[in-house]
Amino acid sequence: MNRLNGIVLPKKKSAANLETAAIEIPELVRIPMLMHQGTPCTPVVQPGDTVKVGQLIGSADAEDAVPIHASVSGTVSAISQYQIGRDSVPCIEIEPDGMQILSETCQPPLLKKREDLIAAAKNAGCVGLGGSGKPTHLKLAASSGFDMLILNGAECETDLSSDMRMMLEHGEDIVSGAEMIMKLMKIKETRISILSNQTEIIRHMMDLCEGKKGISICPLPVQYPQGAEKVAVYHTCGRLITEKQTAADVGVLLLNVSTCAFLYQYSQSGMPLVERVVTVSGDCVEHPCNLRVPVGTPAKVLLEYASCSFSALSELYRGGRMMGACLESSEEPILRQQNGLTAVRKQKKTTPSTCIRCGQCMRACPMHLMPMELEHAYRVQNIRMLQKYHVSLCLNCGSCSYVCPAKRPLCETNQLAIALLPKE
Amino acid sequence: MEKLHISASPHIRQRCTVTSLLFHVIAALLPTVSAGCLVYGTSGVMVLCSTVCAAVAADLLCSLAVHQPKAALNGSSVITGLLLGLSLPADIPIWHAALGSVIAIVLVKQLFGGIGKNFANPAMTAKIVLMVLYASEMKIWHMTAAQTAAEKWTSSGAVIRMLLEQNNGMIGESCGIAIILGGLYLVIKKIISPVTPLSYFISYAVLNLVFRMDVPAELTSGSLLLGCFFLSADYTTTPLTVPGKCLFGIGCGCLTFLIRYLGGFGDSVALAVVIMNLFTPLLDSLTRTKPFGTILKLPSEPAESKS
Repeated sequence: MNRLNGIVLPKKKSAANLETAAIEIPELVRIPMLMHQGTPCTPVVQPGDTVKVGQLIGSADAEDAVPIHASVSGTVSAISQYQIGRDSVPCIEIEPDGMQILSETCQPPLLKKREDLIAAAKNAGCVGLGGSGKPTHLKLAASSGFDMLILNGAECETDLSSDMRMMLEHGEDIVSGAEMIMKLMKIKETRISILSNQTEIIRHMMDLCEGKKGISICPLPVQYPQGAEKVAVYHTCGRLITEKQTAADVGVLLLNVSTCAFLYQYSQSGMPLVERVVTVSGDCVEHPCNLRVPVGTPAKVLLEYASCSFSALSELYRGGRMMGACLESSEEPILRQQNGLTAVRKQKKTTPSTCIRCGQCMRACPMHLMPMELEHAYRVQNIRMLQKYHVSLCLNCGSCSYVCPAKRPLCETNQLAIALLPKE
Repeated sequence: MEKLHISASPHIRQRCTVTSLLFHVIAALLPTVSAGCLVYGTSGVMVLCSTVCAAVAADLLCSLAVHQPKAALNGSSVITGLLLGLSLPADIPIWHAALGSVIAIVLVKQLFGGIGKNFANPAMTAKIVLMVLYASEMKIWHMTAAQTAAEKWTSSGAVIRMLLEQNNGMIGESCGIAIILGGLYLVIKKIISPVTPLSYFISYAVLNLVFRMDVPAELTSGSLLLGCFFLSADYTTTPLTVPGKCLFGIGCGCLTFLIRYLGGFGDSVALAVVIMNLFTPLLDSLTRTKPFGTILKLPSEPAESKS
């Protein structure tokens, strides 16, 4: 099978061998009403209300919204605003009482058919846990004719190891989740994709899958990116997703391993998505770690746990270093789709120089785009040329910027170029 | 509260820079340079020094004139100077050699926007200009070299001699093995793609085999090898994609053959490479990559075609 272009990142998973730890309940959690791709939720609690763990606090009125639940028990202290780009959404601040009283509304759902699973995924507040935050119920509902389930455990980003830990520590939940989804969605085959150099995890998952009909492990080439839908599907089962299609159009249901494990845990306990595993790493933290934290915990609490030297802290990323977005302050909350928190020291500033047409960006692009030509088309604001060269296919994976010897911001330019395109 | 810095992803970059790439090329040229200096002695050293110094000085002055002094410090002018010096005869007056460098840097490179913007190989264009300006010094000499290559050295023993040492050509032609070593270094280090050198070399050899019924010893001559590894594999002036590189190499091979046996110009490699440089934009647009997923035609109802 052909493989797409990609890059080889330095192996820097400092927390890969560390057991997931839990942290103490923080003094304040802030839960924004937008922690998914779609429409924000509406707060259904008032300041002064008492809430319990798992209680609904943000209701999803739109079809593409996912409800939000309280991650701690305590009192709602305020409803403030949370800035996302230029927009701001309401943000519920809860002062925990430390008791972690479970809400009595959390009951295991009755899962009999496909529609039950879709409804359960929505009620559970389930989003893509690999960082995308795509509503899972929309993915499940996208097609009625899925014939393959792909569980993505590649986690090829630098630094991050939350999915790896999930597979090692809760592998049986992933396999049971796969069986549950296969049964309800009438899917016959499941492939769990793992980077081929993660031999320990592959062996562990193979042991768990033994005797399970239809579930197999698919080792992927050790390169970046692997998580993007088109790349993951192509590398795992060889199906080609064309420009306007999604994985559902080729009959593939693609979920992150952590999402699958969560769906199974929800089917057993009825506890919605209120906590998650986050990898804290970067050269600014002394003890990189994998932490299980309530959603909405300030980043600062995690950094303190990992002994971060705050005086040296220069940049803080939500996610890994390849695709992570910068945080404006360490007070910002951990979101439910966030798989990593990377704290780095001041980096040497790189000044871009002229392109020498070495073609490395072109050989790195998994979508076979030509970033240097897209950059030129953007500079002259030629929208027709941008469309002709399919800039909209850019995954924002950052491979082109990573390899560029002239240190040009190619990936950033692609995103700016996409913003230029007329809306469909 | 601490102030955090905001930047766009990705937040790590590969260590390789333009300067490090160009220094690899300089390193790859060193065996050829030292062979030339050994064979030609002081006169070879003088020519190389004058071309390199003139190229660096011209580049620096031009960069200062456009207020970007840093742009001149990446070693690209050193490469231009070395390539020009290596393709000149050792007995050329050093002023003429220096003039060649100035032409290469100012006229061919900087006037078109500096590094990465020139449409043709600066060193080779300058060499052609020198051949036109000082036809006597350059051409008379070259006739003998061509003669030597074509007539004198046709036995198989000559191939080995030409690879090892040849002291009647240009400075860079003195040792074929040194050029191959440098070229292999670049290929192994993945600085250049082997596609252009191979397609150039093979197409030239095949044309010779088909139309002249023999593979001449000059296949191992310095000028062809230098053309294969260092001129036709230059980043800026050659196509980007593999099919483009392949066509470029074949074009160079054909033109070199035609110019050498039908034309009357002294340096067939330089002329062939510069002419093919002019085709680069065309080849680039003809051989664009196909973005992923745009190959197949969309079925009218993709969701239902699969079940």
